[in-house]
Amino acid sequence: MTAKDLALRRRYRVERLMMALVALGTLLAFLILFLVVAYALLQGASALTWTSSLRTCAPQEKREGACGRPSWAPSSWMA
Amino acid sequence: MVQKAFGAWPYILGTLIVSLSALLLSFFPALAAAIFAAEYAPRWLAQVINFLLDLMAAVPSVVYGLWGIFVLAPWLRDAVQLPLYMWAAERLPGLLPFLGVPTGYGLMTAVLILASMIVPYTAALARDAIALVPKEHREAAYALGATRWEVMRLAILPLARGGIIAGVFLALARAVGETMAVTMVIGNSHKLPYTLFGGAATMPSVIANEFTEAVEDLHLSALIAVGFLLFLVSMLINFTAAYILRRQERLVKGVL
Repeated sequence: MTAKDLALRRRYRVERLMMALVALGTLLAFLILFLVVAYALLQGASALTWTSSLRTCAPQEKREGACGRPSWAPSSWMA
Repeated sequence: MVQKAFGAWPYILGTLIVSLSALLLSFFPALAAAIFAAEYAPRWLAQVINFLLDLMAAVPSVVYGLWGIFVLAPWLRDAVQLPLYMWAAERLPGLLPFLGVPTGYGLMTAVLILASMIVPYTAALARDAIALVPKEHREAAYALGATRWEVMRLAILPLARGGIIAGVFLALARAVGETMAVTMVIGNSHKLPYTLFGGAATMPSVIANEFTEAVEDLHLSALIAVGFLLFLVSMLINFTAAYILRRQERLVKGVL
């Protein structure tokens, strides 16, 4: 292999390395955005699910405050 | 307790440390995103990246702050700070005073949150600056057998440098003035910020935290003085940016 071939191989190795670095940096730039959006979606969905579960409760349950109450919440939660 | 003794040094230092560290941390990912969107990505992916960059700039800072409080700070405390603290306690006890108490809420968390918040500013301006480089420069470099990275390094980045620097300074100005997200995660300590994990305060965060308690004239005046200092720092950043851009324009005109 000639010196020219070696130089060409090195240039293309640098090219591949830089492409990988640029792609990695791009992913890193958006990492926290993805995490924030995923967290907001999950929390929002959980809150919406809990809220919508209240609508399906029987009137008696609603009056007693037991409807949709999380297990950790006191019985006075919905009163 | 208000002791009627006021000094802004911890907040000035806190602002500078947090802003510059965030800038340093965000610069390379932002530049990578700009380069990837402008040169490497196929058109559809570039459009997605551009959309995400605009979306990132549009997320309110309080949302970042909330995520910082409930997700990032506890995770950093358990996965990064505590192990590092324990390691330092065993191997390098001399490092402990510089690490601080690993509570999760402090300088490190604020820097990380701020870094992710200022990425879109640097990236969007860098992307536009790269796109504005005349097509002939690229084509000439490709015609000479340059690889994509060589085209970027030799033909595009030198001409786009002015726009990239403008983006960096815009991001720095945003970082210096950022209030909500930083206030929520920085720990709000009034001591000089010499620890990595410990609490600190920035000029905007101390104003946001204390304006409701500033019932005495002196306290109020001290807060306004901090606001004025913040204004001076922002002005200094803008003047520096304008100077660098003018110098860069002259250089580019010399090349073209």
